[in-house]
Amino acid sequence: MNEVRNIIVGFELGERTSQICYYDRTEEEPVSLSVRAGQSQYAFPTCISKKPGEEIYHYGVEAEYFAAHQDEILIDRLYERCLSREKVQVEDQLTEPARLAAVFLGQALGMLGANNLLKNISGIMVTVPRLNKALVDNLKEAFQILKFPAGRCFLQNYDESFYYYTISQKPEFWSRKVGLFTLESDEAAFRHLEIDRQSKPAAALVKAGKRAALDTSWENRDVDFCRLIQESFGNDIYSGVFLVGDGFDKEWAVRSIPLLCKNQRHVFYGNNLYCKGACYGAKEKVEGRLVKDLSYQGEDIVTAMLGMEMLVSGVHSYYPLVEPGIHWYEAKKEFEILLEDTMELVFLAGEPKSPRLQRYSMALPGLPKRPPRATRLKIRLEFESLNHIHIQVTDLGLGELYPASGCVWNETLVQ
Amino acid sequence: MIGYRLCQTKKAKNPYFIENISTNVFTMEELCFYMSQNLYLLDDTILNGRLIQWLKDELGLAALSRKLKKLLEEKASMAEVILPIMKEIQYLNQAEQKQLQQNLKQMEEQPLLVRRKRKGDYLVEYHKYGNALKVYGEVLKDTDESAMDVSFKGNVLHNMGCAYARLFQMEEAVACFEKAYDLLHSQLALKSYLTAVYLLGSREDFLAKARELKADPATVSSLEQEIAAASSLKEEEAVTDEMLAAMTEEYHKNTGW
Repeated sequence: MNEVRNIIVGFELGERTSQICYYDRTEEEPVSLSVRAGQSQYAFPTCISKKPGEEIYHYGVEAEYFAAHQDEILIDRLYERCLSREKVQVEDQLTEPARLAAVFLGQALGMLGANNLLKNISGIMVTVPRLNKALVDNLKEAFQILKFPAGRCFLQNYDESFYYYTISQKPEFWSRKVGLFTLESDEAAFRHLEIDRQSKPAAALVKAGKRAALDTSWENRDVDFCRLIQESFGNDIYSGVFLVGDGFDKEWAVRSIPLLCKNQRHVFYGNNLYCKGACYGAKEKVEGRLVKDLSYQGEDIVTAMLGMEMLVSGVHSYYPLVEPGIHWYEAKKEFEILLEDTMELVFLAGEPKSPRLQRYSMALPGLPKRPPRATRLKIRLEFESLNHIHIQVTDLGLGELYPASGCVWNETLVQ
Repeated sequence: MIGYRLCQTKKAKNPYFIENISTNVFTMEELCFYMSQNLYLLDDTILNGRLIQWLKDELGLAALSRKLKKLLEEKASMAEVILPIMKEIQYLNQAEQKQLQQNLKQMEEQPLLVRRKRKGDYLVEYHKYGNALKVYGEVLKDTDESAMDVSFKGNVLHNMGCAYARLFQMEEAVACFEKAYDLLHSQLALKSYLTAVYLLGSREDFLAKARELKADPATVSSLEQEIAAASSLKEEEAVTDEMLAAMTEEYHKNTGW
C-alpha cells in the first residue's frame, strides 16, 4: 500500500462477500486490496470464526478454513445479522451484532497493513446493499468498540456508491444516463443514474429498474439478458454502463456485449464498483466535494424540512431542525427551549418549495404548571427511517428554582 | 405570541449560588428569571464580583462580564446593572423591558425600610424563614429609630410571626402576633394571634385568649373549625422516613442551621 497517513478507506460490507480499498493519491484513484498477495482476488466472505473457549477470531477466507478444518465456530451472514438488534448465539452466550461486526471490521482493516489505524485512517466509508436503523446503530457501535472517532466513520448504500463511482469517472461517461446491471447466478437487475441538470445544484438520482431471470443455458441466457437490456434502455440515451456481479461472462454474452457497446457507449465490467464508490464517498467527506454543483438525492437523503417557530435571540424566527440534503441516519438534533405560555409543541414540516408547511402538534400531558419561562425542555430528534422521526422531549424544569418533573415524552412523526 | 424561545447560552458546570434563597443557578435563563421575578431580592449578595467571574468562567460571557464590572465599579443603579444581563439573551421583549424599568424606578423611589420589608416578604415566599427573620429584625430595629407608622411596624411583626410559625417556633410567633395585634387591631392579625395561641397551648388557652381580646364569637367559631380541619388533614398524611428526611433537609436549607 502506498499510503501511510491520512488513509481514506472504502469498505463494502456485502451479503456474502466484502471488500476493502484505499485511495491512492499517486494513482488518483481507489486501489482494491487483494486477499492473497499477488492475486486479484479482492472479495472475502462476510464472516468470522471463533476458537471455542478462547477469544480468538478469524475473518473471511481464514474463518471458513478454520471452521472447516479446526472446528472453529463460524459466524456468517454478518451483514444480515447487523440489520437486526437480535443477539447472536456464540458458544454458550448471546453476543450483540455490533460486537461481531467490530471483530470483522477490525480484522479486515488489518489488510491495510498500516501502523496505528486509529491515527492514520482519516475517513472510512462502509457501503452496504441497504440500511436500516439497526444496521446504522450496530455499525456505529462497532466503530465505537474499535475506538474510531465518530466523525471519521461513514455509511452509505450501494446506490450512493454507484453514484460516487460514476461521477469520479470522466464527465463524458456520465453526460447522459448511466446504467448498472447486477448479474448474480440466475438473476439480473437494472438500475440507472440520471442527473437533473435543470435544478440548481444538479440533482443526481439512482432509480431501480427491471429485473429478469437468466436461463442457465448460455444461448438462452444471452437472449434473456439482451431482452432486459432493450427493455431497460428503451429509447433513452445511456452514455455509460456498468456490469457487476459474478453472473456475467463474455463467453456467453455474444449478442449482449455489442448491444451494450452500441453507439460507442462506454461499458465496464468489474466487481469492485461499490467498494471504490465508497472510497470516493469517503474522499468527499474528508476532502470536500468531488464535483461542484451536483448533489445526490437518493432514497436515504432527507428531502423534507422540519423546523419550529420560536424566539431566537429575541426575534421571531423559523428555526430549522432538519434540513434537506442529508442522510436520514446522520440527521440528529438536540436543543433546549424555554416555554413561554404554552403546554404543547408545534413542528412545521414540508418540502422546501411547497408554499405551506404542515403543522404537527405534540401535547405534553402531565407537564407541571409553572409560570412562563420557568420550564426548560430538552428536545432530541433522531430519524428511525427516512420518513419516521423520533422526537423525545424531557422536562428540565428551571434548575433548582423549579425542579425537573422527570417527565419524558416520546413521539414518532411520520412524514 | 410565540410559545417558546431557544436557549442558546451554555450551562455552567459549577453553578452560581444565590445566597438570599440558598439556591444554585446554572443558566442565564435561570438567572434572568430569578432577577425579573425578585427585584426586591437583588442586592450586593447577588450583584457582585463573584457573579461577574461566574458569567465569564462558567458561561463564557466575557463581554457581559467586562460591562458589569465597569458598571459595578461606577456604582451604577440597579436598573443599569440588571438590564445588560437581560439583554444578553434578549430575555425580555420591549414591553416587558419597559415594565421592568418602571418597576425598578418605583422600587428605587420607595423608602429603604419598605424595600427591606418587601425583601423579607419575598424570602418568606421562598420559604427562607431564617433569612426573612434576619431582614425583619433589622427593619424593626430601624423602625424603632425612625418615626415609621404603626401599621407598617405591625405588618412587619405579623409577617415575622408567620415566619416563626413556619419554623414551629410558636412562642416567638405568639409574641410577634401579640405585638402585631396591639398595633393593627385587624381581623387578620387577630386570627393569626389566636391560631398561634391554639397551636402553642390548647383549645382552652385559645378560648381564654379570645375572651380576653373580646373577639367576635362567630369569628372564633369559624377559626376553631379551620384549625380543626387543618389538624385532621395533617393526621391523615402518613409521614414516611423519606418525607421526614426531605423535610429535615428543607428545614436546614431554609434556616441555614
